[in-house]
Amino acid sequence: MKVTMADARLTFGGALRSEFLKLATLRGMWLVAGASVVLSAIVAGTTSHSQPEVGAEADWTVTTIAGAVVTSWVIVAVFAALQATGEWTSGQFRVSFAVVPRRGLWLTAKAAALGIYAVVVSILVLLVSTALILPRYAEEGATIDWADALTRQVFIGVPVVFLATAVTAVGIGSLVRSSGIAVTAVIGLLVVLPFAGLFGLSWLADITSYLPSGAGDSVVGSGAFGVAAEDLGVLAGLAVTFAWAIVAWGSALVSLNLRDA
Amino acid sequence: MIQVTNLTKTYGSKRAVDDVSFTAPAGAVTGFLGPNGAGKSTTMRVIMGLDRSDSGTTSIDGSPISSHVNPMRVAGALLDAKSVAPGRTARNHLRVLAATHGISNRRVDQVIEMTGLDAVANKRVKGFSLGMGQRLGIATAMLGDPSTLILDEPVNGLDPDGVVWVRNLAKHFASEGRTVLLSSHLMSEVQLTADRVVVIGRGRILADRSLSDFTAEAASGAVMVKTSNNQRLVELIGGVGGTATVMTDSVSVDGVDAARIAELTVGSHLDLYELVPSAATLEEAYMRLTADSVEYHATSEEVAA
Repeated sequence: MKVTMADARLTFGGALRSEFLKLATLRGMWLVAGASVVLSAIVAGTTSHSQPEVGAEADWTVTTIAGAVVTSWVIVAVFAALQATGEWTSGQFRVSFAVVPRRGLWLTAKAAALGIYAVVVSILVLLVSTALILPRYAEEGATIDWADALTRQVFIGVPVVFLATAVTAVGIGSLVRSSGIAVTAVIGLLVVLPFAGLFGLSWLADITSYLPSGAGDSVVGSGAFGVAAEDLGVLAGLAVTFAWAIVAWGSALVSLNLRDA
Repeated sequence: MIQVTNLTKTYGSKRAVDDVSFTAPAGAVTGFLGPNGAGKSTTMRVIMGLDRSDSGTTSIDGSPISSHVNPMRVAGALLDAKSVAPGRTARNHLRVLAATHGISNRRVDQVIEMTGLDAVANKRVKGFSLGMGQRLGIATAMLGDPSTLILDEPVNGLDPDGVVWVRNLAKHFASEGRTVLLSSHLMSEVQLTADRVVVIGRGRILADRSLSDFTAEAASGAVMVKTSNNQRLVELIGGVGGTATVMTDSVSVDGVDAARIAELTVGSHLDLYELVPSAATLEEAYMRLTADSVEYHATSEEVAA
């Protein structure tokens, strides 16, 4: 439908389309997607060819596929955080909030756009990893078995975890508004904290399962995102994964509504 | 119409805006004047919903900007020319904003043409000069064809052609019954553009009236007169209780208004060549009003040769 100037209205669909255009009109989106796919391909290729012969083990195949996504997961999360902080570092927030004065609408649209972008990247990464890994194990008779629960967990769970993590990162970025702090916080949360237990911080080891990486592993059913942690089960893993996203999004929303832009 | 009522805004311990109230009516260009740090930009940011007020309210066409279903149609603002992701092209920057309200790419092309950005529309903004950035900021403000324009120092960095263009744009907008609130440090520019002035100093409103009233109040009241016999004029003025001072080729008259002077010269058969009530410029009126409100003073130093 053609929209005349008189009909022009601010809608969530419009705000979402605007956020997609922001992504599509900067080189970063394409660079990050490309880098994610290439790095995952390298991990997938290296891992599959360094494994011993395993026979027709479907679980081993999908576990290896899942293991190739962690680098992309961190890259996409950092990118999502930088897309949020970029509003402030570039000064773009002045016009963004002038045309979308409702902070909740703006934050939800940005989180949704980057969440969907993360899902697309995760699917690309899974496809490329599968294309590289499957032929190696196919030689030994392995296939992708969609009847297998772990296979479904990996191929559905990885995009879901990417989605929730991107929303978490947008929330963190919008909360702290500083690129340096946001990147440090995201990497700290996703990469550093899960390993802190290994360096004598026993209380952190106890909560590893409740960090985004541990919860993500429970969703996916393999050690795709971090160090070995207690398996919470798929549903509890999903709950914890989305709890991180909701808390980050909610904290950012409160901050946006209370602080000056 | 912009309505600001008892607005107060504090940053840390500094009260940037203190119980400010004024109205920028529709159909007029309102010049928003004040020294650096007086609170102009803060007020504009609160009106546009970027900053939160401590107390008081602001509204555009009756409601806060965030309450409107179509904010871009209600108000367009230029608050800082560098409010753009530097890696994005000018056209894409405008397309991103237009998408929020379902505004067509044709309108994007229109404002690009209106602001003279055709040649650079597909270039990344990071290479823009201050003037081009300013034009893009004005294009952004006009994108929604809004009923209210808020322009903070819009002529900064513009060439003379651009300055005239902004002046005509503001006047044209107001002539269509829209509201224009414009801040500028260029008094001559405001004098040529504004119908009303709101002067703010140290966060408080110092004046809020029509431009003509504002400058008239600052005028000395003297009338410059040139006749065929200035000495005779001095005698006539003295006869009605006024004071006349002979200048090089004219007389400065105090205490008698221009109409009475004209009657006196006609009645005495003097040829009247000039009769000019002295008027203060906006700059003179502004300087007098804000003399005590300037927060950041420059000092002049003598440089040893």
